[in-house]
Amino acid sequence: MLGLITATLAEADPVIHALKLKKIPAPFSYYKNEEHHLVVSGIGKCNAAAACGWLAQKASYTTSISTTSVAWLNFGIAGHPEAELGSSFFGHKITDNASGKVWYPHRINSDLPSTNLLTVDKPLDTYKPDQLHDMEASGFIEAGRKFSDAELVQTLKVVSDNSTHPLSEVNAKLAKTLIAENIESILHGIDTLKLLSKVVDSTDSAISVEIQKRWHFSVSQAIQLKRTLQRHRALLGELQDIPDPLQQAASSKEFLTLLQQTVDIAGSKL
Amino acid sequence: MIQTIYIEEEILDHPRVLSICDRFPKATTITCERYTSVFNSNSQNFRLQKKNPALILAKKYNKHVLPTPPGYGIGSDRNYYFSHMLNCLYDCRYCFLQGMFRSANYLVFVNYEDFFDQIETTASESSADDTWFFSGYDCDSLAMEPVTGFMNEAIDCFSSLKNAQLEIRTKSTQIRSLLNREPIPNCVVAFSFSPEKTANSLEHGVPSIQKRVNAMQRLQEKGWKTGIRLDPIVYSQTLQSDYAELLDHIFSAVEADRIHSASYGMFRLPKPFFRKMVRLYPEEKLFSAPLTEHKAQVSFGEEAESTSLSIVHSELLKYVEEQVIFPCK
Repeated sequence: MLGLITATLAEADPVIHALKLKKIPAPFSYYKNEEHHLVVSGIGKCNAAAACGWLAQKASYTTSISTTSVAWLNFGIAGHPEAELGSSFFGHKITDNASGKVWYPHRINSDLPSTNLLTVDKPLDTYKPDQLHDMEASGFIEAGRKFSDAELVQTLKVVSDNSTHPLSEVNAKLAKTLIAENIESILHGIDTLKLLSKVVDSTDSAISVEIQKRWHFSVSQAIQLKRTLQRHRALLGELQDIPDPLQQAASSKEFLTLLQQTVDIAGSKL
Repeated sequence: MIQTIYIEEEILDHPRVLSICDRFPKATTITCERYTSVFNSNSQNFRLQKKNPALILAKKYNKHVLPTPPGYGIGSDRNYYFSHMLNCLYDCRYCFLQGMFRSANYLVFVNYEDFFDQIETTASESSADDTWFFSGYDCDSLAMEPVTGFMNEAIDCFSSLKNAQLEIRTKSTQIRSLLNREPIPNCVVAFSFSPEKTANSLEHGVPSIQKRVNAMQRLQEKGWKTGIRLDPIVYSQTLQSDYAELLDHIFSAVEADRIHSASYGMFRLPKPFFRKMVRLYPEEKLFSAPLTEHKAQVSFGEEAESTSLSIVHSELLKYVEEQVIFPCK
């Protein structure tokens, strides 16, 4: 699953169309399909953090997906003193202007360039040198890292204003156009993140869900079951069906014991 | 290769930083106040970073030289290690670094002189001539040598330290700097090996056994002291034949009577490291083997360990004298 956070509907619109997302009634402006969930957070870092937290909570209750394997992308427009209008960048050093706090998102293997990104509480009169300026990234990244590995929490910004094209000229129409012109880059970023998130996906397998429907497992037993099924996958391949001897297990405890014995025997032959 | 370089602000103009950056003209450089904000930050995933590790250039302020853990050494009572670099170019699934560090980025400390000063000070604290300094504990000593040039300078340092011994532990074949200079008597280049089967399944990105053997042979011919390190030993039902084959392979090219030392030790990990490694690689066969937990360590258990160590010791004895064999506990 990929969580997309952006500040305004104008920025969201080209992505909603490209991914064919459907609007879902919610406290936030929320669009989704099976893999992608997009929240229009509103402007500002607190809104971005709130949207991120809300979506993570929603994902944990309404999907079988492990929250830690959710990848996150905050996309939108940003200012930059020198960069060309319409150029796009991942953020590789994100600084919160108010607190001075800094994050260094790991650069994911992507063809897009990356640069420094400064999150401000309100637009500055003059740009600070050599960095993008936005109003959401620091809140987004701080919140996103509470739920997922840092590598899976990224920002991608399209330059909307610079020293020769001031912020006062930026409007919803321009924001939408700039995002639309960069849709390939944004989709590429999304695909890269999705591939990465698959590496760490620890979502329960279908067989695990089936087993837990038939026997009642305590929290600690469920953890043991998960690890034993992982060991089964490593040593014997994915458990496809519940084997006959295990079908007869009278309790979750007996089930676990029998499954662990099977795996231990396979392990002893290494 | 390296696409991202983080550099501490304080050392932006350090000559070694400039020369290392020159080797990667296409890399994106990012400044940071201290390396810890990149290397030690929370929520990092070692496995994801290992797909595209960055290089971090930093300055180390203290603890350049540390005593080795008990049981680590080749016969001396005074054993120290130093790490000019944290993390390794290779990706060995059994390696404890995956469990120890939050980041898979390569961290290089560029203030080499401070390491050498501390080595000299530590060596001068004893009049004995068997103070050993081990390199390659937190990284591979030679794999990044073409980039860092650290070991070449370390050898210069040790060439004037008559009472200190240096072990350069490696799986690398980056030996050009060693071949381009005269050997020094107080340095051993020690190559780590695992049997073919283990190497193929667990040592990702590591030069083949044959290439390592060739490197060792060339160093011997040049006059360098060489050593063999069989650590970690990963238990297997075919351990005896695996190690017999490995040692036959090594000693078909390497001169046994010119081996300075051979050491061996079992696969074992502190529990927290093991748990983290399982979380990173739940599908790894090694971590699904019947391992046991004892005294905060995860291992193959006493019986398997004792059998394995005895087998490897006996196999080594077929080639080298007892006095150059050292078990690592």
